[in-house]
Amino acid sequence: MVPTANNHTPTPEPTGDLEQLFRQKLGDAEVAPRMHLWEQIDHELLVQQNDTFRRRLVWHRWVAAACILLFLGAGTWFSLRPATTGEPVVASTQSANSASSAVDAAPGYSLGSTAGSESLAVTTEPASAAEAGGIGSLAEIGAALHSAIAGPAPEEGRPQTLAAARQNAAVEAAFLAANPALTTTGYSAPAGFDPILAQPTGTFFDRVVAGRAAYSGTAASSSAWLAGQSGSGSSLVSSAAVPTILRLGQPDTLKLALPTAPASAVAQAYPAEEPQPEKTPARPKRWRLMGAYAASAYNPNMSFGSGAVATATNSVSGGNPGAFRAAAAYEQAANEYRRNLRPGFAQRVALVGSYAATRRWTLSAGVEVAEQRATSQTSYNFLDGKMPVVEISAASKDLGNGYSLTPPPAPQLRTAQYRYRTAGVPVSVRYGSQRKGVSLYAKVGAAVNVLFNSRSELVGLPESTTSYSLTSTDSPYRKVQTSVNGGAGVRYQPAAGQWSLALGPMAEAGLSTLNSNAAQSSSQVRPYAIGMEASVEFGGKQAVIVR
Amino acid sequence: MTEAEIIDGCLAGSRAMQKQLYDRFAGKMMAVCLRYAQTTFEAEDVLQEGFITVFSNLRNFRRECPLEFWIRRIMVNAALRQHRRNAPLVAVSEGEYPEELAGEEFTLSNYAFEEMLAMVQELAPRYRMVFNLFAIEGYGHKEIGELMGISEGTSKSQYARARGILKTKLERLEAHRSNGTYRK
Repeated sequence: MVPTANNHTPTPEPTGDLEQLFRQKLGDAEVAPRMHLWEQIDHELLVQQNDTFRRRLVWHRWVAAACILLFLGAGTWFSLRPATTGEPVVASTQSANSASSAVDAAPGYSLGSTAGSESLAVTTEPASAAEAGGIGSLAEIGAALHSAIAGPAPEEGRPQTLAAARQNAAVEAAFLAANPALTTTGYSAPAGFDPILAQPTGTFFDRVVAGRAAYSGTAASSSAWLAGQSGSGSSLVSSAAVPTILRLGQPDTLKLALPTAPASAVAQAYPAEEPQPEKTPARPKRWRLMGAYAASAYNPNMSFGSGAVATATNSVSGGNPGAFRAAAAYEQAANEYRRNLRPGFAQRVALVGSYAATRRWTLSAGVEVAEQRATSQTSYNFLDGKMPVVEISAASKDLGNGYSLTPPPAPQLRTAQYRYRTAGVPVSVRYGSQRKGVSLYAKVGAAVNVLFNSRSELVGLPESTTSYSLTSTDSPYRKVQTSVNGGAGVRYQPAAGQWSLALGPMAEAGLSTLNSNAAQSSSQVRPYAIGMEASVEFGGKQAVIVR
Repeated sequence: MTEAEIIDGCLAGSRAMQKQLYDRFAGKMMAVCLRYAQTTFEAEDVLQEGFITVFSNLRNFRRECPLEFWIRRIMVNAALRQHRRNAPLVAVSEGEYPEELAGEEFTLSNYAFEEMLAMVQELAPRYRMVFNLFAIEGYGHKEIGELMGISEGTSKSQYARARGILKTKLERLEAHRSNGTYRK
C-alpha cells in the first residue's frame, strides 16, 4: 500500500496589528469582580435613597407649613376685613333705583323734584293754613323748604327720605292723573308756573325767585308757587324765604316740580303705601362648622427590609459570620413581615371650620384625631422593625452546634397587631354647589399629623407589647407625618335647614413613610387608606338684609 | 429575563432587578475598569461608582442603543473622573508623533488576556487612558482631547508613545517565548 501524500495544509493562524490584538483580547473580556462588591453598591444606593427621603421630607414639611400659614393668613384677613359692603350702601343703591323707577312712572319728575315734593307734601297742610293768612305758618313753610333743599341728608336718613319721596311722587302722579281737574281748578297754581317764568310778574323778588326756580329745582319752584298762591299780599313771605333759597339752592334739573296734592285727598284716593322691608337676594353665611367622620381600610405599607443590610454589610466586611447570619435572618423576617402585612380598620374624627370663599369653593381647616390599625404575621417575632435577640442567638446556636440532626421545628406564625393614634391639622379645598337639596362635591386636602401613640403586640405574647409615645426616642416611627387626601360624594341640605350632610368615598396617601428607616423604593413604603367619609355641616343659612 | 424587563424593574425600585442588572454586566464592566485602572482595587472603585451612576440615571436611558453600550460609556466616564482625581494637573507637551504608525503583524493566539492586561496596566496613566480610548473604545483623537482636556496633538503623541511601549513589550514577550528569556 502506497502511502498517500498528506495534502492537508495547516491553516495559518490569524494575525493582526497591535490595535486588533488588544481589541480582540481586551475588548470583550469578562472578569468577575469580588463577591461583596454588590453589597457595597447596595449600601451606597440605600444611603442615597435615605438622603433623597430626607430631602423630600424637609420639602414636605415646608409645604405643609406654608399651607397652614396661607390658610391662617387668609382666614384672618377674611375675618378681620371691615364690612364695607353692608346694608346701607345696598339700601341706598336700591332706593336710587326705586327713585329712578318713580321717575319713569312720572316723567315730569326728577330725583330733585321728588325730594322737594316730599317736603311739600309734608308742608301742604300748613301751606293751606298759610293761605288763610297766617304769617307764622308761612315761616314754617320757609323752614320746611329750607330743610328740603338744605343739601344732602345724613347717610342714615337718606334712604328713608328717598323712599318716601319715591312713594309720594308715585302717589302724586297717580293723583294728578286721576284728578285732572285739580290742575285747572283747585290747583291752578301749577298751571300758572309757566306764565310766571315766561313773563315774570309781581315783585322783583318774585321774579328772582321764579327765575332761580328755573335753575335751582323744586324748592325754589315751590317758593315761586307759594308766591303765586299768595299773590302780592304774600310776597313778604316769599321774600323772607328767598335768601335761604338763593343761598342753598342746588340746581339739578331744569324741570319744574309739580306741587303735591293735599295729603288727605291723596289718602282718600289711594291708601298710602307703607315702606316695607325688602329682602335682597340671599347671600349665604360664609363661616360654617363641620364635623366629619371617616372609616377606612388603612395600610401602613411599612418596609423594614434591607434596613439591616447596610449594618450587616459592615459587619460582614469585618469578617463576623454571626452578624451576617443575624442580618440574613433579619432580612428574612422583614420580608416575611411585609409579605403578610394586611390593612386594618382606621377611623378619623375631625372638627373643621369652613369658609365659603365663593359660591363654589370652600376652604376648610381644623383639627382631627385618628386611630389606625394593621396586622401582620411573623414567625420570627418580628415587631416594629425589631427582632428579639433571643431568636437570633437560639437560631445561631441551633445552626452552630451541628449536633442535632432533627430538622428545625416548623415556624409558628404569630399575628402582630399595630395601632397608631395621631392628631393633626387638616386643610382642604372643596368644590361643589351650596344649593338646597342634593348636590355633588369634590375635595382635596392635606394634613400634618403627629403620631402621639403607637402600640404593637404579638398575639399570645403579652410581654412583647410595645408602646411608643411622643417622647419616646427609640420609636421606629416618624412622629410627624404628612399626607394628602381627596374625596367626592353627595351633599344634602334640607330646604328649611341650616345644616347639610355629605357622604362619599375618600382616599388618603402619606407623603412620608410611617417608619423612619424606610427601605425599598419610594413608591412602595408610604401608607395609604381608602374608605368612606361622612360629615355634617352647620351654618350657611340665608342672610336677610333689611333696607 | 429580557433587558427591558430588567430596566423596568430597576425603574420601579426593585432591588432584585438591580441585582440582576449588576450580575449581567458586572463581569464585562469589571474588565473595562481593569483596563483603565492600575490595580484591581482601583478598578472596583470605578465599577462601584459607575453602577451607582447607572442606577441613579437609568431614567435617562432612552433605549436607543443596547444597554451594554450605555453602561460601558458610563464606566469609561467614571474611569476618566477617577483619572482626573488621581492625576495631578501636569502640563503635557505635545511632542512629536508619526503620521503613519507601523503595521506590525502579531499572531493573535500567542497572547493571553492576563498578559496583555498587565501590559496596559503598566503604562503611565495618561498613556493608558489614551491607548484605551483610541485603540479599544474607538474614540478619535479630537474626542479624546476633549475628554481628557488635552490637545489633539498631545493625544496623538501620547498614543504613539504608548503604542511603542506596548510593541516593545509584545516583541520581548515573543522573544521570551522563543528563547525563554522574557524581561519586562
